[in-house]
Amino acid sequence: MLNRKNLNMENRSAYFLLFPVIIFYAVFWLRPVYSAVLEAFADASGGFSIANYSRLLMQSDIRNAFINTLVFTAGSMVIQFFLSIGIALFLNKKFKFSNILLFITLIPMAFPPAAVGILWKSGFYRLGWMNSLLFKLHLVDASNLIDWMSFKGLNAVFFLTLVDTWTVLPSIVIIILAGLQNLNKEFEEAGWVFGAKRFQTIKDIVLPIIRPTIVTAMILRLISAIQVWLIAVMIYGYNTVPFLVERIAYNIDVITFAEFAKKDAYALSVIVVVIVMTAAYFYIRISNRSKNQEVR
Amino acid sequence: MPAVFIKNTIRRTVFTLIAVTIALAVIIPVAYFVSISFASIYEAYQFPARIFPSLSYNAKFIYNASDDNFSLHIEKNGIYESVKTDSDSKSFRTYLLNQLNVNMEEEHIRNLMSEAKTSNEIDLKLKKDIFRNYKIFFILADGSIAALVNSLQAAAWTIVISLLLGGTAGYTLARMNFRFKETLNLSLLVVRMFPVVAISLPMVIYIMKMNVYDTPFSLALVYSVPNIALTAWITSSIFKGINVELEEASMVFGAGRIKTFQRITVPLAFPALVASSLYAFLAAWNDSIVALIMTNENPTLALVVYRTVGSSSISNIPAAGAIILLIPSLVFTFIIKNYINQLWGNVQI
Repeated sequence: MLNRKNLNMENRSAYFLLFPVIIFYAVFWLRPVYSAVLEAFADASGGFSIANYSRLLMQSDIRNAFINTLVFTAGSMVIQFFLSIGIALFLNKKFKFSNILLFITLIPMAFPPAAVGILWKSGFYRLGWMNSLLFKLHLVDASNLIDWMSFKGLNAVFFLTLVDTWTVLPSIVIIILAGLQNLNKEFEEAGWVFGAKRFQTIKDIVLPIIRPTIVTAMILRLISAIQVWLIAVMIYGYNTVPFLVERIAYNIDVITFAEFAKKDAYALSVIVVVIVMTAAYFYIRISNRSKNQEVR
Repeated sequence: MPAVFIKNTIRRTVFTLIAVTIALAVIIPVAYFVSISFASIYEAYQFPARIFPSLSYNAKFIYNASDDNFSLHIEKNGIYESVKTDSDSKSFRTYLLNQLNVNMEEEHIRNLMSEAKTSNEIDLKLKKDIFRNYKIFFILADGSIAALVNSLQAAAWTIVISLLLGGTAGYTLARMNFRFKETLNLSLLVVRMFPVVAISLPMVIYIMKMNVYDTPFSLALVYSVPNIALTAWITSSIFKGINVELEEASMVFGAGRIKTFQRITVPLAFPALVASSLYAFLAAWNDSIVALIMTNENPTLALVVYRTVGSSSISNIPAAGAIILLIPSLVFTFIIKNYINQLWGNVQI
């Protein structure tokens, strides 16, 4: 029963209400992004050039940052994919103390990155708690302690992957758990009626149904894994394990006044934006598709 | 029958083992971490580290007649180990306070000395000042309190901006039809995922021009970018759930749109508004990269905690700072944990 005049009225008052938001985003989102892109593709005189990017690629630290970020993101996604599904399926069962276990599992999710950094840093010292624990379990000698902080390159990336997994796993588990709880129990029961074993039911019925949930959770992981920096810097310091955003922080925090520090930071931040927005595009496509399926 | 019994026992054992492993993987690191935040410098250099914090030391105070001085012995695995030998009560006090986190008056120490002279050896229980590391972090470390205030201010501004702008956007999206609704929905989703690090670099120049450089407010402007979108999304789904007829009834009885909004809509949407505020708080509280880029002399607490690590070779005081940073996060995360699964799990565009 909408008539044209009514819609126009509503259009107008909607725009009136939205005006402040739109202004805010124009000024504090679009404009900064625009000037970041401009800076990233401008040479010293202001003309268009890709010199910033070719200079970035010349630096071995930056190349390592790309590789490390790639390895870190891929590694943590693979580990977290299997672990989070396993833990979510486990926690989805109702058993004695399952609520307490869920509560404990979720604790790391609340840790600010700076707190995570210190927690693990205090474990990585030679006399830190990781060696203390291994010592108490009789896995290492007091004379032969592991020097966790001496790890370099991909070994260090691997440890950071584990630290990251400890921190973010709960936030993936909780999303998948929600998917499992919304799942219609009858599908599973149907599987059992037709003689499927538990594992088969999970593999052929449960997982395909909650697939969109898992995929969206993983894309969100990808978006934040790409932006890792703080735990790397807190545990290993700058330069030991370069990451994309770690390089931005390094350019701003350490070599602030170097000739190309600002330019490099801009160029890197645009790369981060491109990667994240690509991931976001897939996120939107997938959630659209699953919504359409629901409608059908 | 026994076969079934054995199978069940194995199943139950495996099940319990998995549950215990998951729990320990969280509890052990956290327990050590908490324990370190209470550890004195002396304890921080002990190996193996304690998993639970200690409240006191078993000690002996011994008079060495040959040198006319005193030595303090502390128990370690059943053996008493000399940690400090001196004849001056003042230097004992300093040692106790700085190395052991024990706050003992000089007079008390002098009494102990005269007592030790007569009986040669006294058994002592030295009580720790448990929160000493926390006091040091706040009182002795420069600017921690200012940083805490900055963090709170940045969080407060983020909440205000996000609620005002995000709340109106959410209401509009839920209640009105307009031409670019889909576009707006989509852009809000994109903004929610946008990496703020890319905004903060150019923002430095703008906020310098606006004369708000190095202020919590300028940080809040950046934190608000994803948070307005988040608030809009949370509130719009809540406003959709509030019965329009309630609002219409209110308007029939003569209340205007604004009054209806105040009296009916906002109270009903209150839980969602609280949840969005807590999200905004956490975003501001936990951030470090934006603060790193956009502050100079007024860092936030997270940034200060991050910087304490670089300057110390043991982590007891940084850990105390991190625990202070952690507590609000922990409380708020658990308040809003029921929103988290709705947050990204079932997105509606």
